[in-house]
Amino acid sequence: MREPNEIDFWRGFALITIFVNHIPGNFVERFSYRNLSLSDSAELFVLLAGWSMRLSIENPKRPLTIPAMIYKLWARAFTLYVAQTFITEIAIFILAASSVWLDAPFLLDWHNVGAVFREPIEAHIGLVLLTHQLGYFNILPLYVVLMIAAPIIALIYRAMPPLLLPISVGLYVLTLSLGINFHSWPIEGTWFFSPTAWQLIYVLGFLLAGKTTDIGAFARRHLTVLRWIAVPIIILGVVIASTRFFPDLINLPHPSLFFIVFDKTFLSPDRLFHMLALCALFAGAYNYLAKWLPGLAKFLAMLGRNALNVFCAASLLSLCGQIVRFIYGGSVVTDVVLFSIGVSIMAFIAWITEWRTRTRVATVSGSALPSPAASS
Amino acid sequence: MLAEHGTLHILAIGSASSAGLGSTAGVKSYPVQISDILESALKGVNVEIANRGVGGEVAQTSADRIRSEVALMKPDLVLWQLGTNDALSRVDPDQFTDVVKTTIEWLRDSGIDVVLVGLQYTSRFAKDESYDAIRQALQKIATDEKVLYVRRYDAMKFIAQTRANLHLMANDNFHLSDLGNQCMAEHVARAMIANLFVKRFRPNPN
Repeated sequence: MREPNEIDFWRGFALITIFVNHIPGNFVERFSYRNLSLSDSAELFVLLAGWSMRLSIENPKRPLTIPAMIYKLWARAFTLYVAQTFITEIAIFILAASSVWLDAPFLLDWHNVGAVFREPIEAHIGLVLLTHQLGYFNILPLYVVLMIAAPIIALIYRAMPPLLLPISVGLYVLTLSLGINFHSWPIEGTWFFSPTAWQLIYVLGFLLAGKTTDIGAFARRHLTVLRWIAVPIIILGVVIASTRFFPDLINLPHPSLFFIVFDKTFLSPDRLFHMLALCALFAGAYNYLAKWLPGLAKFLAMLGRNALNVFCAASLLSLCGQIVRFIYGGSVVTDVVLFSIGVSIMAFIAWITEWRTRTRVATVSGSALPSPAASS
Repeated sequence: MLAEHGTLHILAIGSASSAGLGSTAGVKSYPVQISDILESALKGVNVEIANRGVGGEVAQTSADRIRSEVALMKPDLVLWQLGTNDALSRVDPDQFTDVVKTTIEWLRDSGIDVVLVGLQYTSRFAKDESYDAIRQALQKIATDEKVLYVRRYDAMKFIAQTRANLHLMANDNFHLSDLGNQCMAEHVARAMIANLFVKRFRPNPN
């Protein structure tokens, strides 16, 4: 297993935040940073996805050939797609089983699942084509699309590195100007995350991962200046989020998607800049956290190392959490217990994933099996 | 006023039944029925309704989506069906009130009218405290913000108590049948038309 590092740490942090934010109304959510922030864990998750995509295809000693790179990225896209369809099916099971066992037919309406039971033919076509997504199960479809597009991003970068960012910004501007988004079906509407808007933060993650090149090198060279710029943006974010200030549409210039705040679907510019400001301010904070709180750093990095499995578990756990709250009501005690159990299970999923990998490695190399306890 | 330019743009957002569920294939969804009724009642006005109903989402998620939908579509009116899922998710009524009020105020400041459609009724929740708390909170929001509020809970309760549910409710006794949906669409459309005339002819208090 790779050593704990900054990327895995923040990815682990994002996973816990996603788990908490996806149980609406729960007590622990009040301490989630999104309450004082323009952006939330979704931006962090996608930025880190772009970052790790670059790390996965860049090997300074032995660069991947183009076919090998495309194969690797599309294989990953397929894995993500399988994960999305799997957790969606389990979520449907959880809601269907709960509705039967609790004699609660209204649970069949939750999270856009109603069409699966009332228009099953169309809904199943939509589920497989990702045009029908359950509520809170809508970030992996975005990730699948971004991963399918990843070879294009990597190839543009290989051919003409300085062109990647202008192309990505251009697509973002076009998206916000015209309101471009994927359509959902059979339920009339659009995707919760517009892939052509969110690709920008993915590409920014990809470019920031370059330590000696591109904006990654620029950001590292000028980190102090960037931090000074970041501080007022973050303070402004705290003010806007805590006062819930939204500019009136009437006073906004056109196209208004550039000027509305807090818009998640199209990644409104305030969210984008806020995310970048958070990155500038907290870049390097991991080193201090690892020194002062080594247990926490190792724990979150372990979650982040096994992000996909932990994400899948977190998505299903948050749905179970909602059902528990429905049965027992929302209270501080219920919510703290739910949080503790949920995070423990996420940790167990990460641990068992690593144990399996180690066991496989040990078996292949012919050495004795390591005990699970020796791994942590 | 709702329509100054001949076309009334409505954004329907909120919970499951606004997506037309509960109806058999081929039957017009509830927002489309509202559009038809409004068009026939308001002669010369073309009604365009965009249905962005995602079933089972809480008000916070709808509020997140409303901003970009409104910025893109610039509707005259937002028909927002809400409350049931917040009540079932045990969302704190104060948190619910905060989210809904902020969104209504933003819509109103942006020159957009709002119609709220309230919670569904089922006998199981007749004595449920948190269900009642969200219902009360929604009623208070509508009064405080002076927006049209369609009391779906009371309408459905009346249907259940008069044993009209055989015709008006689906088998699960929680969703409306095709006929029930039609009645609901008529109820909402009439309330909207009445509100339009009240606004137009209300005497100026000054």
